[in-house]
Amino acid sequence: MAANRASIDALVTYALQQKLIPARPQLEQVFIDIDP
Amino acid sequence: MTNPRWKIAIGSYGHTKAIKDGSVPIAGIDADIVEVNPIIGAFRRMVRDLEFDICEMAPTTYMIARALGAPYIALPIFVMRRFHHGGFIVRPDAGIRQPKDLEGKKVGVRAYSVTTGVWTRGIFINEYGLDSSKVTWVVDDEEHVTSLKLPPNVVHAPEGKSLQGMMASGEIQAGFTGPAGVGRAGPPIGNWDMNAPTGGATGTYPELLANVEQVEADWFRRTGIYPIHGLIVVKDEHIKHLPWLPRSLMDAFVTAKKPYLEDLKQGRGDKPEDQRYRSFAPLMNDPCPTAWPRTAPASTRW
Repeated sequence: MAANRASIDALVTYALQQKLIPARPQLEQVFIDIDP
Repeated sequence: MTNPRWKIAIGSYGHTKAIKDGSVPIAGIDADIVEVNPIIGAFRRMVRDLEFDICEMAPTTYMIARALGAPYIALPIFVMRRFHHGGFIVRPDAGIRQPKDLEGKKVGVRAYSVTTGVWTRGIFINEYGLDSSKVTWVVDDEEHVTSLKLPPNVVHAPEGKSLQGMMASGEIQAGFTGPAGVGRAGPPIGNWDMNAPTGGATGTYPELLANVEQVEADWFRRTGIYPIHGLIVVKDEHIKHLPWLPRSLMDAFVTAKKPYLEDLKQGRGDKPEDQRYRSFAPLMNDPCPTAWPRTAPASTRW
């Protein structure tokens, strides 16, 4: 999951800026962490 | 004990083909593959009706739905990735030479929350100084999450008008290409004719950003961001009862993409998607949008 953080963090930031989501979610609230 | 038979909707990509044709099984479940074209229609059906047990979904739609209590959760299986500096066209007569020039203009996007729009707006805001509140975003479809409250500068196209037609007439001055904007008409409930005459807008108008492939490559090298564009969600109840399911799904997707990666390396496949992934070879070890590899040593690049 760590290697995906940059992309996920950026999209969450953009969604917040554009008022699409009310707050920044904890990663474990939205993704199940599992290695490839 | 028999496996549960679950409805699964995922897009048809080179790296998902083996799952969809059954040559790579998902251990522990029997897959009832449901074809949805365009796959965007499955996102809507999942958000609104919870129709599928396992479903591809656009990440923005997923985050919005999850924030509102959606009973499904994502796995870090990213079945679609693409850059988003491109795919944004302007009318040559609109005087738009940089993203900042979009302020005061009308811009077409299928729906405000489409992931493409969120990525590109975010890039324009954070990299190019756009004040998105000064742009009128014109939509001609519904939001997947119908309860989403939209900013006041989002307006719906007049009844009976499409973004395609509005771009042609100059009623909007810029827009997204493809499924995110002027490259289709109507909602994602049937096969879209992406080659319809007005859909040719993609090739009729210039991209806003010049040398966009180079811009995207530079951005990737600087930020490390390879935008996620599609992920896999599973109903919470299944995860709760079958804790091995995420591992099983991850294994299937990773196995399914291996022959596709080999095809790309050998130059096989000439669909636009194949060509796009192959063009990323100088940038990354694994361009195939399943899970991101934790390491990509330069020696393994191809």
